[in-house]
Amino acid sequence: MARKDVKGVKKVSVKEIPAVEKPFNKSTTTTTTTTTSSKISWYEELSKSIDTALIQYKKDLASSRRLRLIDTFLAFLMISGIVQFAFCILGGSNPFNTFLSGFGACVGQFVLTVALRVQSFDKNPEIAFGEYIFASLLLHFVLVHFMNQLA
Amino acid sequence: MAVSFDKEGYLRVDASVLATLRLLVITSIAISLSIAAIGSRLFSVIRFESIIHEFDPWFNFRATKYLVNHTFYKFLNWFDDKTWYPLGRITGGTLYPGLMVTSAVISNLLNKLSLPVDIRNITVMLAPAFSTLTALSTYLFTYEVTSSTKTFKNNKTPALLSAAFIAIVPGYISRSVAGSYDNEAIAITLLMTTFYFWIKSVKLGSIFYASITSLFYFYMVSAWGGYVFITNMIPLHIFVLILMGRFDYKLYTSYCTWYALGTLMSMQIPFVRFSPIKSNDHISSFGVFGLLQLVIFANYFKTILSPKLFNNFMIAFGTIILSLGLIFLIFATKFGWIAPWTGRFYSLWDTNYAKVHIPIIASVSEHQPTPWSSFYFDLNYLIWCFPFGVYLCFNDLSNESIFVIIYSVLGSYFAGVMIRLMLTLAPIVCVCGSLTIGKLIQIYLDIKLYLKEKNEKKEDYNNKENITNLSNLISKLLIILTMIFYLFFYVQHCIWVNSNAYSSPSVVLASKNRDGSAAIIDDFREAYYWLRMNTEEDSKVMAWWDYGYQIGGMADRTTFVDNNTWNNTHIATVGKAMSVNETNSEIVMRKLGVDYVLVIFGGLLGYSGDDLNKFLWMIRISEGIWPEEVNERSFFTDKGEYRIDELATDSMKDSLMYKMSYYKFGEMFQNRDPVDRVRQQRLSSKYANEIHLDILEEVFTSENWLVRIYKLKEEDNFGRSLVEIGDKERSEEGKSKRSKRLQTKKRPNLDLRV
Repeated sequence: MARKDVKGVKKVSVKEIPAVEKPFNKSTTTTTTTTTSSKISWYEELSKSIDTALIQYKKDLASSRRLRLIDTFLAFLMISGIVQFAFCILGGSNPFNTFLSGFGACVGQFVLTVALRVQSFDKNPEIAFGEYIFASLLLHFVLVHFMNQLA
Repeated sequence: MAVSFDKEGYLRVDASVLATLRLLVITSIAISLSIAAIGSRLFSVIRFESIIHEFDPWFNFRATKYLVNHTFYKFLNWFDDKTWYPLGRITGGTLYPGLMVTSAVISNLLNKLSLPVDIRNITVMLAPAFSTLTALSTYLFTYEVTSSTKTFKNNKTPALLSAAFIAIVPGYISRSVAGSYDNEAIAITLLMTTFYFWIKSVKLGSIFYASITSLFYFYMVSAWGGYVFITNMIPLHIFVLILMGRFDYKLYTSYCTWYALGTLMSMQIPFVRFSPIKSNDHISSFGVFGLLQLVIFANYFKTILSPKLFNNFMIAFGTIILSLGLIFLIFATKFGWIAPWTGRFYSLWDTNYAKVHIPIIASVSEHQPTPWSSFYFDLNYLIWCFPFGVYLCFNDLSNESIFVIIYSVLGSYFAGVMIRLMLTLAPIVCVCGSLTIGKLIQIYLDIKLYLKEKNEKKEDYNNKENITNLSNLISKLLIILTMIFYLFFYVQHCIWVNSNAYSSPSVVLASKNRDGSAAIIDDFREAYYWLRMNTEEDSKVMAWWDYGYQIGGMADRTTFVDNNTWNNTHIATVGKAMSVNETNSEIVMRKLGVDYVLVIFGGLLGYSGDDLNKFLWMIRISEGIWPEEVNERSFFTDKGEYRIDELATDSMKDSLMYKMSYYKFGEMFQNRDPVDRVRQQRLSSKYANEIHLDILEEVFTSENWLVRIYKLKEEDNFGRSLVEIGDKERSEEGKSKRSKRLQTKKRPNLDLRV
């Protein structure tokens, strides 16, 4: 299952990216030729580029179940991290190591998952996933130990 | 058939046999390197005995014994009331436990295997044992660096050479001889192993290797404060790679995995605790961590947007992030969320900083700037092979080579700042030196190339070719022989340095009798043993901080200050007690609760590391706290000389340290003029006999006068001051001079409680 998905992603990514870029490149060249002074278009350009990135991102998501899964997890980690950080600021950071381990779990897991995400187009996604599990176990082992330690 | 002759009569060997042979050769090289590494570190054990050296190792040894005799948790919660009296030290929370845990684990393991080795022998032999592992990790490191380059593809020569170099390089041996049971003993091994796994993980972009890197990083953090070097090296490596436009996801996976795991792991060490997120020493690694998040985010846009759009996007994005980061940094420092830089950090950049601001750091001899000669002394000819090795790395410029370059630059700088950081330079010099020699070997000693050429030229054989061949051969031979000479010389130099400079335990001194036979000066242990046997168990011994660990480890008595110089004021107090006159000193000592005072005096023996030579540091440190009571200038004569004879200044003559050193010094020389052999000054016999002590009584002086121990006299029952009583006695004594004649030479009472 997983392998098939990845192949699908690969094909899509290879095919789709140039398809998006080509018309886009044209449009930029036309804009630059028409408007010589680019003070207003600079802002437009920015929003446009963000738009195209979003469109591309949505396309990537739609094509791969695995990416959807990873990104949902990333979003969850991010929200959980933000909530903890907000709580730390509002409610105080008293057992500091407890806060740190909770927050560290979010950041660490987030980073590891991003590392997995960029590797998922690699030759060996299974190996990457295995390594991901290894690192995650290590991370949480450390954190569980750290959680209740007296400072 | 593994080996056979083919039709043309050539010997044909099966590949598997060759592989086995190769493995065999490499294994035997590794084994002989280990033997060389251990062997060259054993001089002190053979010459003296299996004993812990110097100062810090005595504390580590004491802590290890505590760990072995108690549980691990008790060790972590250890509050030591025998040091820093009356403050005590939270020892478990203020040490790097890696070293002690390592030897405790080894000891337990050996016990499980029914090999009950004494803990002292384990601690003595730990450093040599780990040096073999250093050779191994350096081999792996160099192989990892060279295997990807064009020049050294599948060539193990540099790797093997680097292992051979590091095995006996004096710069490393200086900290890892048998008995020098210090954090650095295992830290260099861990440093090289961490770096090896690091470049491996960068190369492969593997989360697994990055996790292993962080595991070794954790071990390193637990073992040595120098882990900050790694904490800054790795981010710098990544930063340089990003600046060079080398970013790819491999950098992200390896760095972020290492940072997330490594930082959280390092916070498990009680001594480190929250400093990875609070202290500025760690901020570069955090900054690069944040930067990588931005870079990978931007990289995502790069794949989608056109170059021009991407460029504009990056400018907007970059300015926002940069300004936000700057504002945060300013506020964080202002509100004290981030601790200010530590003094040791400043002294790394400004070599004069410590001298001006923190005398206690400057007073440590290993914190002095490195003299030029010691580069050659510690690294021999590798020091001039080193730049060429770096040049070879520049030629290659792979990610690994860049790491080597960065390490070389940083290592050279730090080695120039502090003499003890020569230790961190030594491994990379060995690696770069091995690249140089490996290159030379490749050019001038490649037999494969030679055979190939010979085969090709076999057909068209003529005279002219023969001559060029011959000159070729001669030039090659010349260079190879020079090189071999240098290699040979290197070994000789290293062994000589190890045997003569770095193998002295400094607890036991060696000297020669007049007839040339070896004599051993064992005054330190004699004195510490006397303390152990003849004083109350809870008696407090005042000595300068250098001897704190030794008194704790060998005499097992309470000390006021020791080599863990965490409280400058307390040290200054002891310094003040030593440098003011008897009346004032008595007040300080009574307040501190001193029972005994121990002083090192080398004037009789010519031992230059004695307390009078360290006296200026005591004065400087106490002047920092009590400038109106102690003044450095007043200890120098008007001509600016540091004199200890009759011409010495009054504050010098009155100081307790001076009196303790020369008390009864004249009696040693009967009626001749006593000579201080360290400071090369002659005291007249009359003057020397006048030196008196009222508040202390001499209780012990070691065989060569190296260690003198005094006891603080009890307060007078009638409330008179001790100095007054002394003055009175002396004036009466002066009236009846005959009594002085009758006075016999008073030696300390030496009946030992055994």
